Amino acid sequence: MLNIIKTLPNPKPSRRQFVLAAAAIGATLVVGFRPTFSRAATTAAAQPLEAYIRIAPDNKVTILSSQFDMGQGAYFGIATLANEELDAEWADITVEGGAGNPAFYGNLAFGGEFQLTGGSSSMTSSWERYRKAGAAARMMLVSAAAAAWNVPANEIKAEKGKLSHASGKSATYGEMAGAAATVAVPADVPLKSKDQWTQIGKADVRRYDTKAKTNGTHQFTIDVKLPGMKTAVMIHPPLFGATVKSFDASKAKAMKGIVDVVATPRGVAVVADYMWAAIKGREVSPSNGTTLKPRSAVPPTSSPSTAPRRRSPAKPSPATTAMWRRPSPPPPR
Amino acid sequence: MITVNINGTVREVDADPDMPLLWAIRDVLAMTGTKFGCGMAQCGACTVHMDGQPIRSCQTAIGDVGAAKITTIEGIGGKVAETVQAVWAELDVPQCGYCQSGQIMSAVALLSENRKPADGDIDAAMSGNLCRCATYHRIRGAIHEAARRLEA
Repeated sequence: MLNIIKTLPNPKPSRRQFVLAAAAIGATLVVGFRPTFSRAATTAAAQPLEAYIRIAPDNKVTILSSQFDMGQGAYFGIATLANEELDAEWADITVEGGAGNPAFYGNLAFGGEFQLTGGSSSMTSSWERYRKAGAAARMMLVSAAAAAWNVPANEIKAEKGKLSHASGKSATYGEMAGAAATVAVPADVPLKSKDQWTQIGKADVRRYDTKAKTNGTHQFTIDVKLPGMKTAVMIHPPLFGATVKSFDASKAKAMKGIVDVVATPRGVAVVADYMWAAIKGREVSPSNGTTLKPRSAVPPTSSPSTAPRRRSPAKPSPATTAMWRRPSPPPPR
Repeated sequence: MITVNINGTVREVDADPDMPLLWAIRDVLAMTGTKFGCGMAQCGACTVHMDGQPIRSCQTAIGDVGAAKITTIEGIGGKVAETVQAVWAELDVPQCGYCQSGQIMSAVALLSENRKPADGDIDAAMSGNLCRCATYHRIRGAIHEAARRLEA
């Protein structure tokens, strides 16, 4: 959720550094590969534990995705990239949307200056930076453990969310996260070679959100409920680009559950306490040239459902009537 | 107040009788697993069971439910449902997942009545459930696999 992002310490790439990085992108735009990224990572003082990956003391790993997931699997894909290098337990991983800072979340396939999900660019944009973030986080955890245990870093194993040493010392990533956050971000972050991959492209790494999508618990935008939240539905104009001339919502406003009916630049919004009230308040009928049809006037269903039909009057009395202004003609060429 | 038997519990619903069951479930009873798709019984996202039969909750008025037992994705259980859900996850049927509550409700109803559905039976039973990610081939495969496991 966005409010969580806002509580993150700002990684503060300086304005100047950011401009430099962005300019360099403009000069060297190569899709999916941003030579200046390593610079951005380091200049960001990068706190990769905060910007792309958050590891909590309870070992929960949160990956902050630059890309929006609307069902295409971007969250899982990005988590796979990060975890290929980080090697946490999948059961500990959650993905949240990262927002607000194009220096971190800008879409590299489109120049990196703004956050964008589209054009099949989520993986190309994320391919290097999320692996580097995972690798940097892992290196910092290992460095912290090496310091704490007074052993060479190259003797420490980091896998499945755990750090261990032949001497018998071990710690979870979460236990070492606090110390790791004080370690300098490595300037050089080597990545695994393709033959070392255990997760990218592997069939036994399964989408983490499938179970929630089979038991009704996966939360979609329409499922978000906030205190005091209202629901609005739109009465759209009958012609593309038409605008509201006038509307009469006196009947709708007298209906149970309706909060208000307001004109917007793109139609009339019926605002209600809950969806059904909003839908009923939207029911409109032709009046004085208005060409909108009542929403309930749908053709009989061909569905095999034997459901009793929703009770609705044959001709619903109009709750809201709207008059429209024709769209302006295009300017002469 | 309207009384409905939902997921094995009798609940009081403060709603007008013409409120579709879908909105009573989602907005009044705060169970969001049942989805709003088209609102006109064309897509199947809102499918729930009424006495075991799949119905479109967007076209069923809460006032018409009466004593019928309603089951939603949150309340399904038993061997068929558990098998279907397990196979659904194993075969990674969902992509975005928005339609899948409805798909599963229809699939469970089908397998409860027909333990060995042929492709034609599956098409007939599932044709009212649309999937914009086009997971149809995996849905069909999962129903066959669930049938195999239920037979075993």
